[in-house]
Amino acid sequence: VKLVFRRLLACLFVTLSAHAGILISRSDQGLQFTDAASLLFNGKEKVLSLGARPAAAGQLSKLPAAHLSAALLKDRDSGVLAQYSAGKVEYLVPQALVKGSPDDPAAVWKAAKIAFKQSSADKAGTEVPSDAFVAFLPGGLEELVRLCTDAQALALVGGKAKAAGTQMEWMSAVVRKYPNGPALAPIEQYLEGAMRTRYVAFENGTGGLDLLQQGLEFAKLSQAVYPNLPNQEKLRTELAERKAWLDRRIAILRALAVASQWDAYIIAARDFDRYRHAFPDAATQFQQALQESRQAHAKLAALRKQEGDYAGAYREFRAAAARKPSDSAVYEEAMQAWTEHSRRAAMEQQSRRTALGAGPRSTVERNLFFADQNRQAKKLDDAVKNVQEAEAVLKTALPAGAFSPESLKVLYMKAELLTAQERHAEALATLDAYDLLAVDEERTAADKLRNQLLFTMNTFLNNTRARIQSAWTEGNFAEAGRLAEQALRMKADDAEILYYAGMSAAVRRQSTQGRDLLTRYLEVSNTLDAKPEDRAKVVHLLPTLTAAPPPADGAANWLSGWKVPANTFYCPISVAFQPGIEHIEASGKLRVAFEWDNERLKSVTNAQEGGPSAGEKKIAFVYDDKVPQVIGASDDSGASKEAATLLRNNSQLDPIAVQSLTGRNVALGIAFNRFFNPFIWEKVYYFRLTYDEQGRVGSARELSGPKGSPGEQRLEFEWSGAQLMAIRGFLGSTKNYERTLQYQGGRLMSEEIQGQGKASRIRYTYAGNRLVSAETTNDTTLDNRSRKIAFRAGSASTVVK
Amino acid sequence: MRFVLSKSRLLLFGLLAATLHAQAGKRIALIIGNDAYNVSPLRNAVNDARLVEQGLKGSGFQTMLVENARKQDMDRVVGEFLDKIGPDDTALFFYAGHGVQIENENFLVPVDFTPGATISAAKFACLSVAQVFDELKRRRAKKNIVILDACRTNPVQSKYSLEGGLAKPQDAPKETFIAFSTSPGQTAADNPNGRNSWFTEALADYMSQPELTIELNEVLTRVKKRVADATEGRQTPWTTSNLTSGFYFHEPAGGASSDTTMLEKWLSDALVREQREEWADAAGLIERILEKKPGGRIEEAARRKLPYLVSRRDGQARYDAADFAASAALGKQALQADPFAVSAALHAVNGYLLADRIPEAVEMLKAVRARGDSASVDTANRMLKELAAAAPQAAKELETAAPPPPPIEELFAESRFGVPDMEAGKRYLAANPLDLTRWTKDLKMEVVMPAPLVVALSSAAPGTADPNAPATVKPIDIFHIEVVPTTETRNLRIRRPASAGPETDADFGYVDFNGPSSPIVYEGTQVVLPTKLKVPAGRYEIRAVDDGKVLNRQEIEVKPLSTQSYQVKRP
Repeated sequence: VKLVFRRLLACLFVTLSAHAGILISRSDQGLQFTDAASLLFNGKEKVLSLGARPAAAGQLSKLPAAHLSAALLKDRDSGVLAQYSAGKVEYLVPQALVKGSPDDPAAVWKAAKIAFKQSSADKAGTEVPSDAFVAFLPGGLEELVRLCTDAQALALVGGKAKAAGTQMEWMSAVVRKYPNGPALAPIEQYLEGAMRTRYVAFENGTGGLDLLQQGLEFAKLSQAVYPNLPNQEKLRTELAERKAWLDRRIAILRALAVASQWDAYIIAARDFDRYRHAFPDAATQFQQALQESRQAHAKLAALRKQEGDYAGAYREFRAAAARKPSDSAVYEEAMQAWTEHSRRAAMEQQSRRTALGAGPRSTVERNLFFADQNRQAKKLDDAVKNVQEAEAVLKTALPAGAFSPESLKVLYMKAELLTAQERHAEALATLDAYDLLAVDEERTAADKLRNQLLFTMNTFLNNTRARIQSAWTEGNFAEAGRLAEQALRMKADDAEILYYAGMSAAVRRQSTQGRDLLTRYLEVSNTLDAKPEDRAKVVHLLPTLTAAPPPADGAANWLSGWKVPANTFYCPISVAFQPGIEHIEASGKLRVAFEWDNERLKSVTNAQEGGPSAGEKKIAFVYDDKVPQVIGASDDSGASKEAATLLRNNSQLDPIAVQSLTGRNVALGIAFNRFFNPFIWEKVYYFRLTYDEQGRVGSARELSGPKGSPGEQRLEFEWSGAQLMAIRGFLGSTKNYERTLQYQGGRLMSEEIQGQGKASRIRYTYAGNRLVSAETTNDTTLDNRSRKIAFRAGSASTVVK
Repeated sequence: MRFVLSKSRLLLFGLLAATLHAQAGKRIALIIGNDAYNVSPLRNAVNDARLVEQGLKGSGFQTMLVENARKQDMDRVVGEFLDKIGPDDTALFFYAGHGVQIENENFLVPVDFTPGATISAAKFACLSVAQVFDELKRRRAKKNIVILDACRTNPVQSKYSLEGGLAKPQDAPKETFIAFSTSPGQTAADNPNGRNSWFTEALADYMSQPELTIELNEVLTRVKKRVADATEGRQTPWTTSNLTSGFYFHEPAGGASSDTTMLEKWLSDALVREQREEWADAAGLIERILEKKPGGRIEEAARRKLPYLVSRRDGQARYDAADFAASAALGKQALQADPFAVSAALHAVNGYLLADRIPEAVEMLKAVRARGDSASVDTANRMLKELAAAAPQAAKELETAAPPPPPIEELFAESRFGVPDMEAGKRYLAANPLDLTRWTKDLKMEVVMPAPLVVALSSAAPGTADPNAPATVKPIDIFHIEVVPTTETRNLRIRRPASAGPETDADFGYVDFNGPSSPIVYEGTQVVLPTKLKVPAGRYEIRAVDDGKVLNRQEIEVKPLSTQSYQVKRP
């Protein structure tokens, strides 16, 4: 019995310790943490409220009394103590003002005697110098940990511009003081998340160098406090390696620039593309590199031309044209150099001209005739076969390296057929080969064909570009993709078409194809003609196309089909509740029944007994076996049966890519009340969803229908990893709803709801490793009913760790 | 507007280049004969052209014959002719008809020529020989042969008060043989009683004899004799040539038209390709030379060059394939083959930087600092400065003083000094400025080497008293001072016993020159006043020389560790 009593005592002590308040003060050794039960200000526990500003409008003694219920933080900027809770700040002054106290609250606090009581029995308390006082957290370690990740609180205690530094200092001190507490798990998660988000944002090109620096600062902290956690170690390495790589790459680029090695510079700058936004100087220098390279090649080309080296001139003009493809003068020069070069080259080749024997010549001529007939009859594939047969005969009949007049005829016919097949790039290549063999009048027909080809190509491409843009603007991504693919067959290295082809593929979930096309786009658009904003979009999009697949383990959410890790109660991409509900008994004789098909929710029926609204209301869902998510939802108001959602994991269209590339947010989510309360099933509500950097729903704006206009109600979601921490509702800038979620050991224990000046609560109950039930008090923000919820006993979704 | 370029062309270039190199040079000839002039028609020029064409065909030429060509015909056929000429070819241009010299420049007269009001108009109405020369220069044919039977009494000579005959040709292309039917300024007869001019008749006769395997010069020597005999000395054909090898209409058995000429041409072309950084072409030419196994100097030069060019070629290929590390390694290999190939080192630097391997790049920059010229050393330093921000090796290298340049013996170790090609030298220097000042201290000079004024070597200046005086360097047309050891001094130095050990400062004295800035030439090297010249102790004659003539001379004795003063006085 004695042993049991001792253990109980120990447990009680531990519990009390865990929940004891903490006084935080500053000494020469940094932040100090002391257990404290409460504070005395000038010998009294009572304080007066200044309101939201650290200044008094009138006499201090006439201020209203404040009820101390939250953390007390000293505002570093003003020197005034404030009560802080969930972003809300209430400035205070001691009720017991010293005789002759100044009217300035900061001066009052400076002169105030602050003492802390270690227990309620401690009457006098222990004085702590006013200057040394930093904070008092009645919520103890849990509150301290929470504060370490609360940017607003950190800005308050550390100064507005120093939140990041303050956070470092606090986290470091906390982990040093409480090295092994489970209560510190949020810091561990936060640290990992902080490094990851900064690294990812920088890698994606959405964050600047400051984010990388912050990531590195967190890495230092991580190294100090969690040196052996593999995930953090990996992130630290990634951050450090990226920084080192950037340092090297910048040095390399600068070295190449001072040596005027502009072509090499341009190559070296390729990998740097996605980071260029973080280095404005590098962006300017890159433009200079393109310009210098272009000028150097053009100059060399002119020299080669002057020397009569037309092959060299063509090569250099072409290199110059590659730096600025729209430069028609350089293009013309290149064409002229090609003509000169090919004429001379063909002249040289004449000694290789050989007469074909009568037999092979007859076969070749026959194949050419057939090819021509088939071409005229639009049997292009047959015609191509005829040409291939003729080519085979020539290859066999002629000595190596030799050619005959028939060779030219075959090349010409091949070019014509390729043109007819709209394989213009190949047709041009064939004409090039022809040019290198043909002399005098033989060149005339080929020149004409080339001109026709170029005219057709340019006309077609210009028209198609306009059609692609139109389709894209209308959101007809499939049509834009189809047209782009067609145009690419004609000109495979057209930057603009590659851009639309790649983007269309990307938004239509054709990741591999999109990645290839956009990578190619980045290569060919690295010119003075490039549209920087288009390139920036692609640079940001590409990493998302290579993003890792969703976690393979975990149970699929019934609404999104997204597999979520264990102990995830709200699906991060749909905010649908994860544990399956069996039924709900609501006050006012409302019973809500859930119909399941395995893990798929088929329908929800609200059955109201008695009263004017007696009857049943049903919400039903439509699924398709090909896709994991709900594809349609209907209710008694006749909501859409199809395309009810367009979530981040939509298999047909990537809403994040659409937003990134077009600026249009098409992500669509549904809930069954205005605030994503999982236990109130009124009807289908539609929301325009916005995802955060980690792909979680960051905010939602209510829509009047699936294609309706946005309403005023906006919700913001706060997550910690995959765990939903809070939902806050706003009408305009006014907060009208707040729901905070409380977890313990990874289990969702309760939710606190505040709205319309009233509070309500949801309590969850577990049996072993299973969520079995929940109870809610009257929720005044919605239907003002209380509820008892029973969860599905046999569902994997209700199992927790 | 957007345009389309075929990307396959570059590939075709490569294939084509390979094919072209597999071919031997061609013989291509353009023959023009003009009789049918409105004014002063000729009788034999077309016949001459036909006869020459026959002869040339018989000696393996692809011929283009044009008769009675108008100006537009002449322009067109000349263009077509030039287009056919490749770098390994022999191009022959024969013209029979009226020719005229205007303001010391030769013009060939088309049959539709109508004398205009001005000399300029007349020039435009004719084909300029100088323009043909210019185009031939661009083609860089292996050999050019220009034969003009155009020295007849011309129809416009009196109208424009022109000199008779043709002018001595100016600024001919390299590797060109020029023949006129008579001497410059003289006129040739049209042989009114024959079908052909004396000159062409003789020339065609000799070139049509396959058994006559004599060199072109010899052919023309015989032509000259025959024409002079036929005209009783009134007409002697004239020739000039800068061909560096022989040409044969009919090669003697065993191919006396030596491969050497062709191989030298390939070697020269390879160097041009090298300068243009067309490594594959340059290496290909060298490999072709070696396939011929010519032996001697050419093979030695080719063999020495090949490893470098192959490394550069392969390095470029790897670079183009974005395999930058391999490319850099090949650049390094090229540098080992030619330690002074700074461009190879910089190529390797680029490759290593693109492969994100800064330490290796720094090593290459170190090599540039050791053997590069001032500009490349400066570039290397600036690159190191930037790299130092991310690589301690670069900072360390930068802190180290620039390595001393290699000794001058190493600099010129591989150099072959033949007949200077000033034009090539100028081109090379324009493309690769070389700052010799980095090496001047190896010359043991007291002052920095000034810009060289000395341009030609000569034996002792005329009028030198001492015939045994060593060869001196003569600044052309420039007043200068020569310091010449007396016979006694020189002999003493020559006979200096080895047992005396190496020379020390105690063996030297100084001559302090003062006065107006003038070159001082001593033992083939040059300094500019004012200077203090360090010379071995002994007696010297100091000569003031201007335009090759010794204006005055003074003997001085330089004692060990002493300084003699000499006041230069310009005339």
